[in-house]
Amino acid sequence: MIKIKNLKRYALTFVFLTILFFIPSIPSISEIMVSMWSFSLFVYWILLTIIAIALGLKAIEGCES
Amino acid sequence: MMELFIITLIVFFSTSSLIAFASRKLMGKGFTEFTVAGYRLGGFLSAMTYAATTYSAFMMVGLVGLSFATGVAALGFELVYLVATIGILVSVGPTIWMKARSRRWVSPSEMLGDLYGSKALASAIAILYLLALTPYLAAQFKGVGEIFQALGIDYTVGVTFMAITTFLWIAIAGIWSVATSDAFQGLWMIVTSIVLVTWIVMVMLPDSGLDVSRALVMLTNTSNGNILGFRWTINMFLGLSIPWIFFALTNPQVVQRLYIPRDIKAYRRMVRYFSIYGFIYTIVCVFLGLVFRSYVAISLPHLEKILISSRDSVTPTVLLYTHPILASTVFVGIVAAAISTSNSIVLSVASCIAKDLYTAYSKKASESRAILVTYISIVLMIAIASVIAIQRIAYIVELSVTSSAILIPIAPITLIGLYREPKRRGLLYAVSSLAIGLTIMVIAIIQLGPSRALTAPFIGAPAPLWCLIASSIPLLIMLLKNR
Repeated sequence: MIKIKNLKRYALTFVFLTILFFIPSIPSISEIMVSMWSFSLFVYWILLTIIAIALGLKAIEGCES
Repeated sequence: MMELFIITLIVFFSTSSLIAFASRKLMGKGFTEFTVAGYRLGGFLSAMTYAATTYSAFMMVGLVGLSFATGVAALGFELVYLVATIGILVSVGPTIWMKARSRRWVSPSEMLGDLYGSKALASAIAILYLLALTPYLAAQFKGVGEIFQALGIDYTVGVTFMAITTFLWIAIAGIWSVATSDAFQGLWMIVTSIVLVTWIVMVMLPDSGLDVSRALVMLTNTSNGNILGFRWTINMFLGLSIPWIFFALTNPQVVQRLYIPRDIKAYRRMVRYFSIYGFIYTIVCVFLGLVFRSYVAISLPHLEKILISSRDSVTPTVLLYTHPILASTVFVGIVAAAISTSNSIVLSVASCIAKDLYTAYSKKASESRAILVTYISIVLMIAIASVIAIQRIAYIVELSVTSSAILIPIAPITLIGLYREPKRRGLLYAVSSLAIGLTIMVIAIIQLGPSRALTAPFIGAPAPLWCLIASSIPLLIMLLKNR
């Protein structure tokens, strides 16, 4: 048997993070973001990825067979 | 330039072949050893073979060109793939890893056949893998042929080199030689791309009177407007991203890599190293595309429009303006990326054929015969891909792009199968799911053409989205019925 602590919570968080990637594909939102700072999309996606990696590393530590 | 490339290629080929030969010591006997390393690969090798298999020549050619022509949206597209893959690796992946070793699964089609209690389903999926991934393989061969041609070597020599190398590094020790040579190639790919970025920042941009911040600011005012803004349509972003989000569940060459870590520690290391590798490699490739755009606008303005319309030529063209030693090592890195993806696909699909089209039905099947069938399948796949590449069938590259979308219906089937194990009760639903998803993608390819099948609107939304929704419906009905 494999035990993954808080599996459902992690899975839902990853689904949520994946959905957040698509927010800038709504033109009005991406325009607002870029008008505030030219590099905002660049930084937004990188930050989401860093959060996902950190979360992934934490989740995998809680995985035991 | 040509001479330097050949010398670098010889160094690369010899080193990788030596590593592959050395791995023979590690290989035990039998079909399971040949295809999934007897479920005992270490964490580092597992991570590197996962990364080198996933990241093909698309990264340094396709993604760089996409960033060059369309801007920062390419970063979102590639990073959402990475995030979704990490999500799959930490949630679904451990279950696949554990069940694979306890049920002795070798091929991903065998896994699905077992979960739904049907040999016929396993066979159908093995055939689907073969049909979907052969054009993809041919496109990798064609890509290397074109690199050789761009450097003044005959196109056919490039395709032949790919065919021989792909076969050789599988034949030496099966997955052991593939994984160890992948590790070397993965390192070559990432190191050369980082060196290229460093050289561009330290030498190439200053020579053109630019620095990084100015080069990036220039992107706000290009001939296509501000490419630091979102320049894609929502259909293009969704259509390209959806197949990649599920790539880790739908493509046999990566699913099979979840079977191989020797223990949970190795599995954890695989996830850790792959995450870091994927993050660095993606940022580097997108950054290259973006700074190339500013460099070309300043130093080679006559080429800007040509490269925007022919974006796969961006990397090869710009490399010709860098130092020849650097250019040749990066070109070899692109060849390495193509080989590491190709040999993993070939071995994985061949193992599906041997397991689910031969062993499943033959009364005389034995381990040695299964290996023989794997070898025959490998030779045939490579031969077909080589012929397609040498014929230069124009639509093959376009068709290869749709391969990931054709495999989308496998994602819901895998997820529901793993957690519900419906066996034969779920077979009809799984087959319906597969049939509906495939029908949608085939109609989209016929109606829109292979090049637009992923990104153009199909009944108001991209076809991959419809494919995912429609193929999930029969399985949701099954879940509701069995509640």
